Amino acid sequence: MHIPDAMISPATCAVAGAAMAPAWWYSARRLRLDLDTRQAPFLAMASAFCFVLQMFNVPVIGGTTAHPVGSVMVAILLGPWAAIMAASVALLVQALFFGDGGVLAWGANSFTMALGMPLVGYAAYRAVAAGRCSARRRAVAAFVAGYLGANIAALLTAIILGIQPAVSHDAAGRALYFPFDLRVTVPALVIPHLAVVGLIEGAITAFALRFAHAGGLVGTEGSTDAGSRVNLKPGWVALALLVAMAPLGLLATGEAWGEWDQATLSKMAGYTPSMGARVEQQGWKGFNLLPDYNAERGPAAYIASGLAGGAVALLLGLGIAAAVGRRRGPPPDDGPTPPSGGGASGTGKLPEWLLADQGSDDPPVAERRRGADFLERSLTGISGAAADTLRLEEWSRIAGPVQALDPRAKVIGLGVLLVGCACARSWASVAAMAALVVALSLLSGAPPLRIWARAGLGTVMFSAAGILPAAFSLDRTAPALLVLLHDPYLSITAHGLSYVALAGTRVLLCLVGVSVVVSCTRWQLLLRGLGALGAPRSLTVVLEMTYRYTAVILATLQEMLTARRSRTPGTTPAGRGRQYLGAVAAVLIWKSLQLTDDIHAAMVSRGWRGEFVTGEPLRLAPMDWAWLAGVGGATAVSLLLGAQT
Amino acid sequence: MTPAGEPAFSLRGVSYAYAQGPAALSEVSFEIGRGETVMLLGANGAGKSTLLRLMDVLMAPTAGRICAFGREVSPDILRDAALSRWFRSRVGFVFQDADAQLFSPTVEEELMFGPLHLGLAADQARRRAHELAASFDIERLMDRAPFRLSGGEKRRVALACTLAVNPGVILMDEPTTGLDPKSESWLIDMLHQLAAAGKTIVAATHSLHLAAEVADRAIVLGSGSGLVADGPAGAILDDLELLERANLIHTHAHAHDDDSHAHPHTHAGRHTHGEDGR
Repeated sequence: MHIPDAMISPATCAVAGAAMAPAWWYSARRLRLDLDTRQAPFLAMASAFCFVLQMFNVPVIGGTTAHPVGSVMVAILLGPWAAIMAASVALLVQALFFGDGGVLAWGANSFTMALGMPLVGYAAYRAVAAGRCSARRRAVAAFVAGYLGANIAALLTAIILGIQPAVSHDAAGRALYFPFDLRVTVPALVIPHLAVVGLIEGAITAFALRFAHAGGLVGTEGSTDAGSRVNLKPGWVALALLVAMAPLGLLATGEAWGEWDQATLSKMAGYTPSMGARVEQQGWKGFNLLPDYNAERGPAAYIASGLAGGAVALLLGLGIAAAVGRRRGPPPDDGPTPPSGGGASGTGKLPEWLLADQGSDDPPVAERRRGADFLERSLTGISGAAADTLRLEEWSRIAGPVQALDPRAKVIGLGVLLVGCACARSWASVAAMAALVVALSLLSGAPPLRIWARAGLGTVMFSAAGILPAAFSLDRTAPALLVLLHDPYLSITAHGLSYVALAGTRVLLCLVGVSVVVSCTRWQLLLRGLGALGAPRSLTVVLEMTYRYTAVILATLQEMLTARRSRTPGTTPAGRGRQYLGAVAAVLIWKSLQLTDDIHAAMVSRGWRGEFVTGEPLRLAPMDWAWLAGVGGATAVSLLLGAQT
Repeated sequence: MTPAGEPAFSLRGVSYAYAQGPAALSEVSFEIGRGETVMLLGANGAGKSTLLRLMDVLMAPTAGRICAFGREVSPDILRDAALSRWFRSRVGFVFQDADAQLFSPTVEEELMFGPLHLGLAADQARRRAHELAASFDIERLMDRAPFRLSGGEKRRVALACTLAVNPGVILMDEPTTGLDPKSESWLIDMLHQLAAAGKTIVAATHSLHLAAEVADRAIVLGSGSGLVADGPAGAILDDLELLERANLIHTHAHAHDDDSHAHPHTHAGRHTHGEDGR
């Protein structure tokens, strides 16, 4: 559900970011971030928690995996404003460190998963669990909230992706960014969420809430802190305004899809498409995905090609996952139940069964090698991610030219670079950006192969399912290279392939750019750069702490999972695994909050009053100007070459 | 400057209750003179940590007054920037959970955090950090991330970063938890040095061994969260009946030669046998 960079147009990113700005501002105010330093560690913990939860991969039907987002759970436990901030920060950390979701697309991803999802989920929870009600009813309410929240997020994502062909296309009406329209994206994203992913989010939300209640974490109202007194009205007003501001608001005005004139289009997207005038003259060709003839067969064909593309992505994913054992082990054995009542256990007296001889210590004959269950896979993934993060820190300490750049120059340069990559519409402009990115990765002093491999894996994992189906269906008029099943709708065209290659390369370049700049900058310096460029202090403080807390929570989590493994013979069936996952999530959030108090106290005790002092002045050196000139030049070349085509 | 004659801390009728919980502390009064080394003794849940947090003005007592160096302090009073700087640079707190205390990206930044936030220039703060690191034998850790250190290393860094602001009073919560014997004896040496340098040390512990090694004075909190004894450490540690009442010692069996017997037993470094001693 995370939209990567270069998958949606920079203009959409800007609109989504502008739409999120008031939401961020309002929730920061509601949380009194500027007044009360206590809120900063508290939010950072919630973000770190969301972040870690997003790393749990749960098996879903069809062999793929999905992960919970957690923002509904945070909304129920800590209030919707905390959820907006926490989930947004988690998404930014994901984008910067793990390439999951884009940096430019941060606003768009926040809109779906950090605004729509928690607000809808929280409203649903309050509606179902109104007033004092039974634990069962609260659990049902949490389930409904998680389910609805996940589906709303999927729907919003589908809409943002689906309007791409309309808001950015070339003279021939071919999509420049995401190639499929709403008729494809809505079913493709929403159906799996309705059927599977939403159920998982709901189940995890419900289980976590149940355990949180059992642990005395939440009061009867279901919310601690500001949550119980939250008035959602301003939130709904804001959301309604945002929807009206977003291009999607015009969908409801009754105009036929795809029949806008240029004025409407520019109003909708908030900018004028450069090719709009020519399209106007030549007539709108739709998205060129749905040919004019045989229109009724269209949607089915798209879904078919979407499935085919998904299958290709799945095969690629399976290839990557082959390194991790996926065999199912034998059904779990609950182990011997300790006999109850075996001797009254007075204090200090051990029950007799504990003292009795266990019998033979000889090992049994081995049956079958135990396969890794999904929890173990999650554990592996989490360890890997943690190791990755730590390795990034090592890169930032190499004495290289990239590391030495001024953080402000880095932040600006990265922004320009991402826009440049995202705007690369022809191979010539891609080449210009690629030259820059290659140079950057070589100058970083970090192993370039590792950077590129990491970004390549990220591209395949996060974008392949979206991009690959385009090979089948982009331009119906072009000669087919390969026709599957004798169906013209399942033909791979040269144009389709070149689109796939171009879009894939753009995503890859963005990922490498982010990865090099972020991994070669100490996190605190990067945040200082952001702060110097006007990012609100509340954001940088929370980001700073989130990163640290993530490491602490990951360590706790690893200990919990290892401890569980040492007590579990055999593998866990998926159902019980999910239940356990809910419990883990609840314990994590509980521990997180406890730690929050401690960390805040520790900071205050050493003189912190809400501002980070790093003591080193920022200075722009000639190197920084050279870097800015390089990035600016390459981006300008990319834009010029792109416009010529 | 603070009036020279005032005690470092003076508590009058201090009580604290967590929301909807039982009282964590009730009606505690005592004074701590400058340069004293005081152990707060008490079983788990006796309110030692709460008391330390109140003394470090991280929470406000539900009743009672706390004065530091003769001036009343409370979270509200410390909202003032100048007063906050004054108090925070005089009182340091070593937390029980080193993971909570160490929040900076590197050990070096951790050591510089306090000095920088209390107004020292960056180069001075860095010099301080390196001098401390040298005397704490943690120089090789300076570039490492605190959360990746071992338990003993974390403790050293935690103590060092508290000392970085050169506080006159050091509050410590369970300083020996999780330390191996070698690190523990290092800590005891360090506390002796600090005490000799005139620092006031207030440590909460249930380790009678630590108390016996370093304390001038012991304050015992009972299970009812009130003060049950306050006096010279030696006298209190010898009062076995008092210690057993405060759940600090227990009667348990242990072996002598081939036999075993049970009696009140401390781990204070000496093994006293009551009348049934053999």
